[in-house]
Amino acid sequence: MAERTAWAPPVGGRVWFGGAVVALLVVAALGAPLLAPHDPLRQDLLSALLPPAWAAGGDPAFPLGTDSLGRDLLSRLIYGARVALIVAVVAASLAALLGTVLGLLAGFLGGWVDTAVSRLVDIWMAFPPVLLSIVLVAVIGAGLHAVIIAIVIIDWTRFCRVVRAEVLVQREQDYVASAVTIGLDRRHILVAEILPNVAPLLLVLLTLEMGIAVIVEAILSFVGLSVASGAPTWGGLIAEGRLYVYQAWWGMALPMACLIVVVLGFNLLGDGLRTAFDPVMQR
Amino acid sequence: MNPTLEIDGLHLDIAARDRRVAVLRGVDLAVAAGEVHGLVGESGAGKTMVGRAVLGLAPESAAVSGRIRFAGGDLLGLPERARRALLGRGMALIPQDPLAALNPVRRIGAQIADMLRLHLRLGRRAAAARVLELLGDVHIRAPERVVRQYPHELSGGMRQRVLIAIAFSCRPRLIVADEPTTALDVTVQRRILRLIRELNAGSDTAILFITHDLGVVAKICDRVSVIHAGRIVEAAPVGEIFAAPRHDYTRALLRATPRHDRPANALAPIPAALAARLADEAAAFDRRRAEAAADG
Repeated sequence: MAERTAWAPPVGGRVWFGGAVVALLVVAALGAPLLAPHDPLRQDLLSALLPPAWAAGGDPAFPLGTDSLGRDLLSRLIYGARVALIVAVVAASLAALLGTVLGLLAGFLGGWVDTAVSRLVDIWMAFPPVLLSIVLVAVIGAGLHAVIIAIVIIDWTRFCRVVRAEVLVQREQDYVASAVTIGLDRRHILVAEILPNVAPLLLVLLTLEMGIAVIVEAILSFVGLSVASGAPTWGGLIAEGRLYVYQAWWGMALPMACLIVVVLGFNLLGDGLRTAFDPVMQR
Repeated sequence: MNPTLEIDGLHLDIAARDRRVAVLRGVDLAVAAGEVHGLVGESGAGKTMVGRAVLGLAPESAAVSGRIRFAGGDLLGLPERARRALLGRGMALIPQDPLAALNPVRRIGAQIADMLRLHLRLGRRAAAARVLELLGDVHIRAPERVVRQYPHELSGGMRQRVLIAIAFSCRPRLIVADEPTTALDVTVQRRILRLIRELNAGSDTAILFITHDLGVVAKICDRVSVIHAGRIVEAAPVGEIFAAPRHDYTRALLRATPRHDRPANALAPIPAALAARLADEAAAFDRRRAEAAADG
């Protein structure tokens, strides 16, 4: 058994890389008006489809080139980070909240509550998630809030399943039995004794879910169901860039690169945290 | 004076796949206030189940019958809520595995304070101050540091001291100590026993001390009940059990216990004939009970 004398920081390349990417995303999103060289919506038809500044025919005023309407790609990417961050944080947190509450109750109470929640999860998982999200957004009406609601409705099951399974393990532990012998009530045992033991796992899941939420948002904005068209989102940029991909590859490739790096960042962070928490979880 | 804990004809069956397995076959036991009462037996004799039944923590599949009187009231007749309400304040447990019994992600101080805030209604400050006193009572050095530590940072002996502090914190009438020293090495074991003795002396807390180790019994108990196959075969003051055991099984158990003042080859296992006789008795008992149940 690994005995540790002090809390060791979760060091590791994955955590550092993932953390750096996420930090960059946060800085870009919060500082968009300061960082972006141009208004992301301003059109300049005379400089349409300019290549990045380093390529032949590039204009230093537009570091990453422009799109078909002459809008600055770098500025649009930076503003697109805002949508990505909002969706990552809000949708993943709400999905975590819903799934965790149901998972805790199902695992702890057992009986019909567990049966009901577990069957609901089974049914939920039978739907193809991307199609379901498109249908949901179409029903709710396009927009950022609809995207967030759709992600929460689809992805709470990830949290629910894992939390329920972990609660089933934890509630058989002796510390729960001794909390009962002390006379603590069930609510206290669930919230103050079991939940902290599930928390590391939850943090890992939350981080991974943020990456997934960013992808789902990109998919929905790619098919035009996210934020009102015109406002920059990475999925929307990919969709627009696709039309001119033979003349201007950068219009599609650069937003895709942003998406890939950010999702990779979230996944590596989650993965690294999982490893970092391992000694605690495997005790 | 009435005993703190009085068990009469306690039966406990556990549902196996297609039949009921008798674990306790009519246990009789009485523990007076202030007494340390040893419950000794080999693995599977049912000693832990006695403790569980007293605390109301028998497995859900278990059927308990008989009578358990605690401080004058019948426990088995009480509704679940009322029994739960006795835990902590009325009766407490010192568990076998001190690491498993503490929540791994909560600080020691908070885990002791839970008990005080819940049962004694102490505020945050008062509870924190009392926690330090309690840790001092169980001879933990630098309690100010220990309250901020996590269970994995303490040694086995320290963890058990913490659990003893929790068990004694609300001055319960009864403490069930379920093999509290089994997970500890011998020198630590001695200090823990001395500590339990010390905390118990002068209080009227009764202790039901469950163990398989007669050496431990000799050090700490006032009276002993020897349990085998779910029945008490002999109960006597601790001096008598060692000086003049009456039951064959008790004598066999004594011969099977290692002692530093006897050569190792003096150890004898429980004789096969005796084990067979006791098993027959248990089987005959189960048969009679099944017939009685069928007739009734």
